[in-house]
Amino acid sequence: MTPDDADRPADTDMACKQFVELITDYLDDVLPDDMRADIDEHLITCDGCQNVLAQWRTIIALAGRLTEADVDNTDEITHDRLISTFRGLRRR
Amino acid sequence: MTVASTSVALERRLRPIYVAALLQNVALWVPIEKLFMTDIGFDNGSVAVMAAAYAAVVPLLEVPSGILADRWSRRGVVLLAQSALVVSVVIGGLSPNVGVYIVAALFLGVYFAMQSGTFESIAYDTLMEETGDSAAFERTIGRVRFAESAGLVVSALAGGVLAEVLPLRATYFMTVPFIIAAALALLRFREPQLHRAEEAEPLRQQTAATYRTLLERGALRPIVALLVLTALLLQAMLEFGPLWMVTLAASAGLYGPHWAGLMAALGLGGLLGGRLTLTRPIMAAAIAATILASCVVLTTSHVIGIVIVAQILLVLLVVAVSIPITGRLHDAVPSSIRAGVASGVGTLTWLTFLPFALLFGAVSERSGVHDAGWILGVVAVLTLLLLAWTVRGFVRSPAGVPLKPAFAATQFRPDDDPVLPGHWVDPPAAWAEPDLSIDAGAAVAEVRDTIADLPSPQHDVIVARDVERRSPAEVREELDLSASDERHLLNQARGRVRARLDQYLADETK
Repeated sequence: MTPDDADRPADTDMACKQFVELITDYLDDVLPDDMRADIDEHLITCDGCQNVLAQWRTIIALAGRLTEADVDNTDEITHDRLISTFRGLRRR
Repeated sequence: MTVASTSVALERRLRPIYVAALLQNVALWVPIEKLFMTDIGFDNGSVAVMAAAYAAVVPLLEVPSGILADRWSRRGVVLLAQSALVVSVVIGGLSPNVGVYIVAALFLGVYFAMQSGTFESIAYDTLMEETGDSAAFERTIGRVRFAESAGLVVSALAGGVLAEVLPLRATYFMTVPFIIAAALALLRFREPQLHRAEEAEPLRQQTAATYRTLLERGALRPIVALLVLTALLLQAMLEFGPLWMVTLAASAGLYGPHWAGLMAALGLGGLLGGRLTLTRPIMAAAIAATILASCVVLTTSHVIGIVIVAQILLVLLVVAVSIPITGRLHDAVPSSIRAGVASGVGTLTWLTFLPFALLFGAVSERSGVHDAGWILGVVAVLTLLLLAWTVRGFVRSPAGVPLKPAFAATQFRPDDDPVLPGHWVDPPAAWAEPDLSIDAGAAVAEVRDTIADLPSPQHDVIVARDVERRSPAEVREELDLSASDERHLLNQARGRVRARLDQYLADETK
């Protein structure tokens, strides 16, 4: 699928490639006014980027349903490590 | 069967395992071992030779005994291990001299190599057989560990007390009935039949993947080196710590509390490790200062109480520091080879410990254990330097695996594209919101798994911002990040989640 000519943004438009790097900055509202305006303008004509922006919001909402314990990535290996520590101490 | 009755049946079936774990770890001789060894003619040099011989046996036997457990019987391997333990303790107690005692130590190595990891596998397979899933694994292993620690700490104290009133040898012989009782308990256990041959092939693949990971991933090297160094310090303290007691002529009754203190420090260090924020300069400095001060005490102090406190603090902090580092290792390797990498690190540690033990023994033989303490100091300084260097990396870059960009460059047209430079080749479609809300549970689970798999800086930032909903300023402060780095990492992390969720939703609608 390629974008229809009708969807084609203007030549001066911000590139989608640039936009995706700035989504979090955009949502945190830390961008200079002119850049923000460029993005708003881009979004009007670019469905792909609009969708990605909406997805960012969905992700933030879904992540907000998690608790810290859900995503603790140290548990498993910490556990392995403790096991080996205890194994080590068992010997002497 | 209801959940409650399944869990009662499970607990009943596992009970012999808990009992065996407790009894098998009753080792009344452990706290006074160095004292006894000194009595039968060991000097610091031969203690080290024994430790080195031991360190050579364990890695040699660990893998073959694991294969034997998978192919034949896990319970059978533990019973063999317990037999080796009885042989070791009896020979140890009878030893008239250094040579015989080293033979006892080799049998102890056989015991250790054969039983390590086997209780975990038994527990896992039993859970799978009884409940069909492994959800209660953590809890079960927690109980096994608790039983083991209880055996260790109680027998450390009891052994010290017994050594005051009985000949030191007696503590060895009095340990034997406990091991036999452990074996009897194990015989009452009905072994699960789930494992067996199918695990042999993945083992070979895993071994290959593990060594590739350990050797080829440049960014993993400092982390592996750190884990080896911290394990070396820990091993050295457990192996040689009691030599300070011998040198300072501590009374036999002090050996029990000393050993119990070291054991408790291992457990507490584990708990503390989960709460450390090594990126906080003040906390890192306090830890480094305490570790160094403990090493200085070990090289200079002749006051028994102070030396014991220094050893306990050293063990506590080294265990604590190793926990977040282990977390980095986890971040950097895929889960399929995680266990293999962990045991690869274990093997490296043993191999490093071997020459270390010989060096330590040679120095303490020539000029005393206090001077040998300087070797510990050197290892501690190396550890802290490497730690300082790696901790910066915790924040600045992912440890190990390079994070793929959320949107691959190929998703965009080239910058010199005549029509739409830098625009989507294939613009992302909207997610069907109805799907998401119907199946939000599954989508949340997908988000959870992706976040848990992210490497550390991205993981830490997205957890703080999107899961805990903390403010950007707070997160920057805690993780020591610049504002732009923080947003950049968060954007990467969200992009990663998006890619996984997008894939997941596409698969679902197929």
